[in-house]
Amino acid sequence: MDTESRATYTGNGSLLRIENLKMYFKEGKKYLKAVDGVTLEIKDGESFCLVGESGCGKSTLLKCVAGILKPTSGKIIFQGQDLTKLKGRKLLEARRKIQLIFQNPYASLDPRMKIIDIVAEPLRIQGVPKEERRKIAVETLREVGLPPGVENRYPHQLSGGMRQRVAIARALSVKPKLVLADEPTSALDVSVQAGILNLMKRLQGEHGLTYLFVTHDMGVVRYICERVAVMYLGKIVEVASKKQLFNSPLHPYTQALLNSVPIPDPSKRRRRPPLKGELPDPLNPPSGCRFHTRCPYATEKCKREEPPLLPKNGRLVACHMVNQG
Amino acid sequence: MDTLLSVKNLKTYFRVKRGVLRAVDNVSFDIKRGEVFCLVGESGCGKSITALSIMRLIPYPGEIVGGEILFDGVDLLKLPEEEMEKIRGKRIGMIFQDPHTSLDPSYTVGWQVEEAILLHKMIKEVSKLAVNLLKKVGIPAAEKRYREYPHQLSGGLKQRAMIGIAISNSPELLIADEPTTALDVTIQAQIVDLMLKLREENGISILLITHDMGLVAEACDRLAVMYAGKIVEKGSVEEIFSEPLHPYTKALLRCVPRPDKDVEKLVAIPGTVPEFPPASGCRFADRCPMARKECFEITPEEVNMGNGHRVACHLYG
Repeated sequence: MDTESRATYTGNGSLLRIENLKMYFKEGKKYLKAVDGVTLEIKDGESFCLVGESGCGKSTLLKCVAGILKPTSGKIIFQGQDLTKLKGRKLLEARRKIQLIFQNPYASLDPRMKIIDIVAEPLRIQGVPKEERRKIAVETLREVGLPPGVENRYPHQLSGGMRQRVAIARALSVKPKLVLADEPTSALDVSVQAGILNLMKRLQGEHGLTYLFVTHDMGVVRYICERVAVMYLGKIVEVASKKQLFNSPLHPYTQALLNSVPIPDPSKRRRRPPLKGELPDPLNPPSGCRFHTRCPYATEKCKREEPPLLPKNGRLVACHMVNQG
Repeated sequence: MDTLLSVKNLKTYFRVKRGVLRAVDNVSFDIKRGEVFCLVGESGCGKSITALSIMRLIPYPGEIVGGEILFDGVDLLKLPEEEMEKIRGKRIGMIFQDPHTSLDPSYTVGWQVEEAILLHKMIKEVSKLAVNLLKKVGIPAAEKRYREYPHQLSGGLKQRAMIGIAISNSPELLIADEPTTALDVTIQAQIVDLMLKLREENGISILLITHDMGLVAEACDRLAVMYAGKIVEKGSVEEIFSEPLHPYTKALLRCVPRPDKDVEKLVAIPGTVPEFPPASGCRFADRCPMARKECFEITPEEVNMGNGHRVACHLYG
């Protein structure tokens, strides 16, 4: 498959398809539109990144896919079934195939449970007998690189990196298809982060996992992802392959984001001025294109009309200027 | 450029139940006038404690047990507290990591800027000065923000207000402890530009404390890399990024995911930072791929490699 069809992918190898997903939260008399009409397709076996700054809705979107939040409207089609409509045994089976890794391993592990019980818990929920689930839990702990003896310890006895390995083992224990990772390394030091990213890469190959990765770190995106969606205030502004995104970002927001990231090389210091202004109040998002208040190229049309997400040079972009030019 | 701050053999220890935690152990570095100097390292390396030691704000059970901190030729550690109060917030300003907790939620932003000014000099038109400061740090609609409370400001604006407070008495040195870690990248870029502009316009020296190698490369002139309470390498940003010498510096640069180029494989640093490192020997020895017998026995001395590039490692001894 060439890069063009890869970015706008709508083939049969789709594992997850999100259609016009909306997640609104009531805030007094208004609605906070955290996710506002997102459509995305994630291929079987790929590593897909959602990037954006705080408050853009990337974590909310992930929580909808995980079933933690019930979306206001829209479809989440996983292996041909709409997750928002599933109940009972079918829902339990779908949930086995979708596992989650959280940002903070200091908060995501129950401090009163032993490591082995933490890793075996999803297996218990799936009805695996006790002996078998202990065996699988121990095997999985070895697989993520934790030493023997860790089983009978408690989370507080482990370092941050080891805890995140436990969280990965817990997700892996039930042999999922799709792993949702919400900033899995942003609470860790870089020397530890590298080990976790390498582990996740290795596991993807060995288990044929599909990753939906949420992050704000462009370095992590470049290291681990194949395709990327950039979010701004509840909307997707660009979907592209990693190569397209880093070599020639099209949306002005994507460009600004890449331009703001400091490069660990003093000969590549940023020369262009940074993006002006702050993130607008999500309760009162700007009219038209939500980025127009900070966009250096904004025109009258951008203030009035919301740009649709359209194919452009083998990717998807929501920008009047890009789609006209 | 002459030296503004000279930290010599600083030792800050914490006496805890399990023993003595040598958080900062024999740390020395100089900051020149008008320079951005970076202390870089991972969590727990002692970079923030070094900064707090300069301000003499070490919390119990910590204590500065040795060394000198010469600020414009005067040893801050020998000053009586009243004299130190005239320097803290006046000649040395400081901003912290989390702008959401470093402003008092029950006072207006303007009040807090004025407080910082009035602590050091009595002037009549303080409100005008405060508004001007908020303008100077790039806060839009400064007159309105002056009357607002911290919760009404975004993180980026709060950090701008903090910088306004820190520079309110035109300090010679600004200490910035992870000033952008809690902020988004587009806002981080704005704050970095603001700090560099202050350096440009006022000739202020900046001690920047960070764990972000990208930020180091972008903002600073010289840096010191810290590991487990010690400086392992220091020099100009160009020297250290193009030719890192200490195995820890090398490892640190190899494990950062790069936004600017494709990396085949990141190399993690095995093991963990020792909490109570042995009294002698190199503190990085048990994680170092190059470690030899002497590394575990003898504490490496700093070696001058020329051009102010210094490294504490037996490989270069």
